Amino acid sequence: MKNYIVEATKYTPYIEFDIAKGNLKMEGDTYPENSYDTFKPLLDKIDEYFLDSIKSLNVEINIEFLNTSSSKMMREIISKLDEYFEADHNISLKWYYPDGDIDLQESWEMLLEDVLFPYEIVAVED
Amino acid sequence: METNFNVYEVYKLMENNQIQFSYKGPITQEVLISLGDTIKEKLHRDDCDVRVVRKVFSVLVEAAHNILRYSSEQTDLSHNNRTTGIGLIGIGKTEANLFVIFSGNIISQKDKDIIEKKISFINSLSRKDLQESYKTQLRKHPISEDGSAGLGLFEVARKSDRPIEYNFSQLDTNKIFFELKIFVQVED
Repeated sequence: MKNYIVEATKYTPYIEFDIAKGNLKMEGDTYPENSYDTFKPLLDKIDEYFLDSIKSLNVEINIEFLNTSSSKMMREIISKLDEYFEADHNISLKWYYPDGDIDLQESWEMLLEDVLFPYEIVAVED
Repeated sequence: METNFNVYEVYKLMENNQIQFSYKGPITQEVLISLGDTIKEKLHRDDCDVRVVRKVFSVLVEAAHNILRYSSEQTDLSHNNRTTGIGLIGIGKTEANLFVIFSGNIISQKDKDIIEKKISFINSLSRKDLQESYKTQLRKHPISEDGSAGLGLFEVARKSDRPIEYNFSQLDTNKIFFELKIFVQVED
């Protein structure tokens, strides 16, 4: 399986899935009209990654703006990771936000609050 | 030959209603990006709080996507096989501390019934229940392949500091002009 890298556009994030290291990174704003087109290929890559053996995956997200369509797809990614976590894979996730931005902190907490895998919402100072 | 159309009338109407800018035409992702950038740039220049800028931008994005997806006036796009909706979108400042983001577009009778039911439900919810409904909706139903999450109106209500204002004008049997006004407060 090859690494999966998608360059950012003005309205879709940079995605880097390093297969050997087990790291998935997403950065940038995301507000496409159709986020299914944006994130479905990544969902498929995640399935492919966990297909043959027990794996570890560290996810790092640095996204500040999601439209509702992207929030929905992000939630689908998170649910998928939760399913793999329940099937004994190692999953961890860090979501970064600018220190002091209560709105963002609350949004990410709301998105993640009921997941089973360990996660951190990390404040980043300027 | 002179036309009756008077540009100054349009200008005055916008000026008198404190409209900062407004666009009517096909709403594409490109239009949204340039409107969004212009608004963000202007608000930052006016030293607007980052949280207010994000709220305004978020409402603009959802309103624009609603038009391009649901407007019954559609136009072909030259660069692919898809169409995009036509509508009106803009931003104004009705009071010193209150932004209004507005949109208007034509919809069908069927969509009117759906939208009306949805907005009156959303407007009836308390802040806390709105948050809960949004959360439930986010976790329910897989997303459709066209990327529609059904969350746009919930999201604008969450960002809005007043109930959503809306109006329907019947133009024809199956042609209704739908207008939406969302208010965002600037905190001092």
